[in-house]
Amino acid sequence: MNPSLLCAAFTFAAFFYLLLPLGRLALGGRLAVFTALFALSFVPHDGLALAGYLRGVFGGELAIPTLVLLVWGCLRQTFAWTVTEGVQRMAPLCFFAVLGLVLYPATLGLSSLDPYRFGFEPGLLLLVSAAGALAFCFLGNCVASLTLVLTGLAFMLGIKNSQNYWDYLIDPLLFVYSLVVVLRWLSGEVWAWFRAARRPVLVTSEA
Amino acid sequence: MEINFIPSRYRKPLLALTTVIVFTVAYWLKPEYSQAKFIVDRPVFSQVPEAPPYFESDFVSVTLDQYVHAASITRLPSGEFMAVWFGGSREGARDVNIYSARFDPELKEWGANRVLVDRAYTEQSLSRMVRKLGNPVIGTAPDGRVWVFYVSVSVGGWAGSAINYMVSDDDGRSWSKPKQLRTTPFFNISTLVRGQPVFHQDGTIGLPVYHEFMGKFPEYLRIDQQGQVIDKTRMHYGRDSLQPSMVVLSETEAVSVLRYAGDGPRRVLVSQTQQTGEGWSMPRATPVPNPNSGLTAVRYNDDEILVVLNDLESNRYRLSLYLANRDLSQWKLIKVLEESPDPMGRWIPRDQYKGLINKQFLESDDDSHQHLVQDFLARLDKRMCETEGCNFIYDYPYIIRDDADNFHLIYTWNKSMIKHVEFNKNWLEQYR
Repeated sequence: MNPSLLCAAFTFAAFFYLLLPLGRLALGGRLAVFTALFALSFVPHDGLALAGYLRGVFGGELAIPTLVLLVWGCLRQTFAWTVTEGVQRMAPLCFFAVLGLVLYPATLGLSSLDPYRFGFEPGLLLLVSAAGALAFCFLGNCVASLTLVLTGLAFMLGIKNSQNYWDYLIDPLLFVYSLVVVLRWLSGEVWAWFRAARRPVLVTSEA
Repeated sequence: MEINFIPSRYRKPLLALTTVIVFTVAYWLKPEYSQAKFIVDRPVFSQVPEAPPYFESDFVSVTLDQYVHAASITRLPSGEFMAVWFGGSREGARDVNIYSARFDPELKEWGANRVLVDRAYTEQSLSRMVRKLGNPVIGTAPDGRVWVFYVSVSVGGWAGSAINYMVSDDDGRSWSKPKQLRTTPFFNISTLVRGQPVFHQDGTIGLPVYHEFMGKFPEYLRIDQQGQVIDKTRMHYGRDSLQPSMVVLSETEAVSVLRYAGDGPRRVLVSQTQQTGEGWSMPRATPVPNPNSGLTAVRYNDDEILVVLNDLESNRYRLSLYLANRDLSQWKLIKVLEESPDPMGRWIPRDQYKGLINKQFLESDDDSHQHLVQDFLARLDKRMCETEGCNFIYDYPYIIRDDADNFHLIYTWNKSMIKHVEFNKNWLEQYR
């Protein structure tokens, strides 16, 4: 079977699986839902598998970190894993949000410099990724670190229809997700700091 | 729930070591970009110095029930020519197909119109939704492989386009399955093609393309023989230039003429490279007007470039042939090829229009399409006429030079036909 279509089928299944409210459904039920969605993605409509429609919208395969994020999300949804909060979780999302801010506005024509071109000669980007992976590792977010390692490995093996490292590293879905989560987290932090700063300080005097 | 495949004290050092190993190897194996010189298409005139002036025109397309547009042409390894264009009930319709036809240069005849590729086949080959097809460009590489690039859209309008390609190794008789070029990081959308491909000495293809989402600007792709994009450079940025047509001048130099899509005085734009397409000059305006319509250029001789365009501020009722110097700073009108009978391009009353376009139709073609004229006239209203009257439109020219002294120009004739014009150097020289 076409590996691109398999990847699209997984994306289709994972996307809807994460959107479904599964409530108190047992583990077996959750696995059955995912399997059903995966099977549904191959159902043809007008000669094309349903996954192909989603693939058309996303412009092909998603970036490796997005796929890892979807796998991670599906495992969390299935096994009810808890998510680490705070800097440990936010660091990789900040990393992808900043990468996206560097890449997308300029690549859409807002500047004469096209950062997408750096992806064809990705020495600098590989160094940035390696530094990010090591930083996440020492921050204790092994999944994020492993994600970047997998991205480097996928690029080395050339598993996507692209010779541009950016296509392995980030896509608009990951960028928007990272940006929204980071902004929400930052606004929460700022609000908490603001409330703490306005709280009256109780001064106790010693007798 | 927690997973502990590896004891936690080993986890970080092991992961750090893996990171270092993987990225060191990836860095080592990363693609090394190599600059490659252009293949220069040297004009070799005077093979037949006394050849009489020659000019011939005919229609390539024979379907009258279709809107046809965006034709391009190439010389095949066999010496025949092949044209491709898109046709359907209207631009952007789901029934638009990419058509092709072959031209026998000995018999001076176009063969049957064939569907080269359609939307459903593209959709199945790419395993993704495709809503519509557009602009096809055909080119023959120095190794004899024929490439067709064409645009497809999955979501939205033309700004949502991606470029697909097919190749033929048997003179355009059979074609590979369509594949898609990966050209942008933003859902791989908004790269379109219209200009002639050029070729580098390392076997890579240079494809002038343009971007249309949120901005309009020209770009230059380098594509390897496996159909992978290996480099992309920007000719410009912003919102006012597109559809580059590129002419190679030397092993390192090339110029691009650009369609202007901005406000203010509408002029043809020009960008130059002296680094084999790796860096481009900021586009500058030329003295020649451009009504936001496509134009085409080809090398004429060592010092001159032949350009075909609508030399108007607005509308497309005239198509002219110019010679310009190497840096396109000096232009000379050589010949008006097509023109509305009204020199200002004003609406023409319906009762007069049929006679005028009938005359142009008969003059445009050898005898092969004369039987279509009545059918053509019967269908005019919906394409060329509005309540104010009717008009003439000649647009989207595409020119190539034969190995000999001949030039082949192909363009859309009144939204109805693809017209082919062949002329030689001596015909052109008599209008200097």
